[in-house]
Amino acid sequence: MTLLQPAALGALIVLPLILLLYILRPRHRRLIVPSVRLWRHLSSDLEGRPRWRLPLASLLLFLQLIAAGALAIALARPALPGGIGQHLILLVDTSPTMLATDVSPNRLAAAVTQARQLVSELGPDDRVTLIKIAPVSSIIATGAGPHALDAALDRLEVSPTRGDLLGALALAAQTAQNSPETHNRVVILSDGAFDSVPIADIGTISADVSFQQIGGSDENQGITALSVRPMIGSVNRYLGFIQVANFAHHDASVTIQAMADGLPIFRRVMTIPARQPVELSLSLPQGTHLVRVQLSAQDRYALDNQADILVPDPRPIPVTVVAEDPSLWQKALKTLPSVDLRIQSPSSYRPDDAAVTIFNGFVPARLPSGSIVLVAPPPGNPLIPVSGVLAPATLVRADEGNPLFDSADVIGLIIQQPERIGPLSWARPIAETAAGPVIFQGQLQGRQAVIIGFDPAGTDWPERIAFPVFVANLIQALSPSAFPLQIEPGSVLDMVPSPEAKTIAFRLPNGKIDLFQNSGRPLRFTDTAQRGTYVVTELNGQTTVETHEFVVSKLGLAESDIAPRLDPQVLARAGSPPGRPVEHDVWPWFAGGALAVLTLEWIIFFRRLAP
Amino acid sequence: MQDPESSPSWSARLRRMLSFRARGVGRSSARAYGVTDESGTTADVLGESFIRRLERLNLMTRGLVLQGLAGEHRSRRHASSTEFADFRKYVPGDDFRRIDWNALARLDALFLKQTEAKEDVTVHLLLDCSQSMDWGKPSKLAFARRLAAALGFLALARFDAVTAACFSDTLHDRFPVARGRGQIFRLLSYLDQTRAGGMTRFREAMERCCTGTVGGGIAFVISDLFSEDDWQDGIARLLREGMDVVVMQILAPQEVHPEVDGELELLDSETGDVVEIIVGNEARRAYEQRVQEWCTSVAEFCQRSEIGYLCLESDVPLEEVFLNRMRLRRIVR
Repeated sequence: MTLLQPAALGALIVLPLILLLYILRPRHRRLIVPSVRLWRHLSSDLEGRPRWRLPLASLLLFLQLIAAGALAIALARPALPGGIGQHLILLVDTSPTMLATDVSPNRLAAAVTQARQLVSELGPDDRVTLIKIAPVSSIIATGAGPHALDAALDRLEVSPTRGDLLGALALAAQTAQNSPETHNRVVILSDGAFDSVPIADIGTISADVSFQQIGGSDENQGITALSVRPMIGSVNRYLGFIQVANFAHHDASVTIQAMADGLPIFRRVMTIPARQPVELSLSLPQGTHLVRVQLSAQDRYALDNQADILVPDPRPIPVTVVAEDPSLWQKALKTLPSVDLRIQSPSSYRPDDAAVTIFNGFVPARLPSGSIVLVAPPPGNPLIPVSGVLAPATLVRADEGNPLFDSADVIGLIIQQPERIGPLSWARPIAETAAGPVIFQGQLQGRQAVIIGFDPAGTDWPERIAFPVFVANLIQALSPSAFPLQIEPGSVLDMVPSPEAKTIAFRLPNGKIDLFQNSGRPLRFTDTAQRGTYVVTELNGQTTVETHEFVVSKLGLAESDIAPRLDPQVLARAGSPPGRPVEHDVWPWFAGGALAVLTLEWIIFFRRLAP
Repeated sequence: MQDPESSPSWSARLRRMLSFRARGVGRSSARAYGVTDESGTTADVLGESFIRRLERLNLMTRGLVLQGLAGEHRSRRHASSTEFADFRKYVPGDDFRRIDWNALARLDALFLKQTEAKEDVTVHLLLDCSQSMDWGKPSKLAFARRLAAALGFLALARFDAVTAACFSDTLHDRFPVARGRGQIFRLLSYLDQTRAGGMTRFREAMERCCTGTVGGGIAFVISDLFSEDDWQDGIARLLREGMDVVVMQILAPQEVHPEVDGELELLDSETGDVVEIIVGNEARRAYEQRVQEWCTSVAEFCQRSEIGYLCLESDVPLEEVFLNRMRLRRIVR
């Protein structure tokens, strides 16, 4: 019980005053008699007694003291924590560093244990909210009582990458703001392995904010960088670069081992100075596909002791140009080293496996499987409605954000014979003259398509530097999306399955397989929490159409530094007002009790007066 | 607020009635005599029937009274008169002239023939006007006034000399000796003017009373006997003066049977002394016992001193006092 107006306890001074009144005897009812001679020294007279008396035996005094005391306490506004007066907002860090084993069994488990302890201290009506500090922080459970978070805490796992503490605090601030009637407590359970967090950005939090450190060791040596680069002067040869850092405050001896497609190619035992990184390079055998680096160290964090990287595939992009005069396109495409250019005549065109096919003044009856570029489609073709030719015009607008126009300025391009194209339901205009749109982009029958409604040869475009840049952008945008060699844990992988594939299988580093049906639309894969090498197989029944690989990895100095770097005082200062408890007033009970006691006292008093 | 009956016209009417009586108008015309009580209200204390009964009463004296004017009061003292009273044997020194020669001739013995003296008696009405008398319902002082008025009327009606005095710590203005029915109004007027105040000092008051008083008489001491000094000394002083003394102790009913309760601060009306007391049944019983013992001690003193004593509560009717209690005590007959 707390007192909201403790100064009012000064009213308790009436207690000794009442006692004093009893001790000093009140003046009795005065009555004039002819003589007091006969009244003297009667058995019940009070004469000769001292002016004070012991008041302890008086029931009325006892009741009056109780009533006065209760009233004084009522004035002090006693309050009890009641109902859902307390709202505990738990922020549990699930960053990968929470897997450090400097506390048993690891930091996350210790944080969960600490969270259970905090929740168990709540009353049945107290509210509790669990916020997971993750790359995208979120409220994962809320409820009331000491067991509200049991299931959520059981399910709590480490996030793929470092958590967003600032976002979690903002979420906690919003949660606290939505509970103005409760005493909000924000408790952060974390190892504090965050770089500076701009707490001021989220303003003040209407709660007590406290930080409970989980772990605290800096005992870690880890791989902080791994990359491959083409070796200068050689064909299809790559160099691997490795950075290993010692985050401990003392020198550490580690063993570094590298494997190329499972075969050891490098092993070295070395001592890394305290809080210093070292870098290594190694020549990869030709044709190496996967490089794995392993680190053996006596540290407390194992997640950065292994790293994978895929060596880029050197295969070129096949591009086919179908035109009566392909020289314009040929000239532009030859500047692109990654392009495998093919030329076909419209009269003898046969669809091939080109990633991108450019049709200039020709539209085939059967489209190729890859992306297509339709340039100056002739009127009457079966795919593009061309209703005529517009007057010469200048291109006045182009989508600024479109990657096709990245560094390719087409505004002011004079077009002598722009075609009147459209309407097209499957494509949208991306460049227009004053008379109408002339360049469109869309998806035609499951493939990327770009329509250019004029012949570049009839413009001054080829004479501009913007043309080869536009062509390069075109090939890059329309070529089948190559699988990224490496993505961060927890990130999203978008892929366009092959049209022939009916099933896409993702094999995770732990052997788990995720199966997806090909619906003809791009596929988004999100199960990338595990670090390691993923294998994607596109299947058509039992037949493998295509196979891809990518690595999920996140390396860096900040990722491997498990030492606490967060200042708890900064976090505590974010809370405001500082811990004023919201309590339930119980003074009416005291006032009512005092009234009842006074009533009883009056009843007793008047009964005694009655004859 | 003054009662209409107590207006001057009412007093004038009483004066007129008394004057008729003094001029020999028939007794039946005197219907009532009144005195003003402590609140200023004239009380009809001497009703017609009570007056008639009073006229038939005589005050009795117990001791010798000095020879003075002959009155209608029969004395116990034998004196030379024509009214035979008794015989007694001759003792040497007796007056030869009173020897009954007829008895000597017949009985051959010397006897003296005694005759009864007819004397007037001075009646002293000593009224306690201390503050303690102004208490009770009805007031002790009011009752004492009525009692004194009745005694005065009784004496004046018998042509006795009547004097009155109020006393508290000393003797206050004295009502001079008066005789005859015609003086009753003066006596009533004197009693009307008495006011309560001061504390009682019996000895000094009685000393002053005896100063300048010649001879004995009957002294009616009307008081509650609450005195700072020893009231018995005062009574003894009267006895030494040769007076027959009748002590009429007046107590209010609330004094005898107090109706108070609870924690009280009792304030002495005369001395200002304070007694704090918790009055309950036990205390009330103890107090009443004390009152009873006190009255008994007063009665015993009076008996030892051969003086008359009456303890009266202020609500007792005067008829009861005169026709029963005083007769019973042989104060009147």
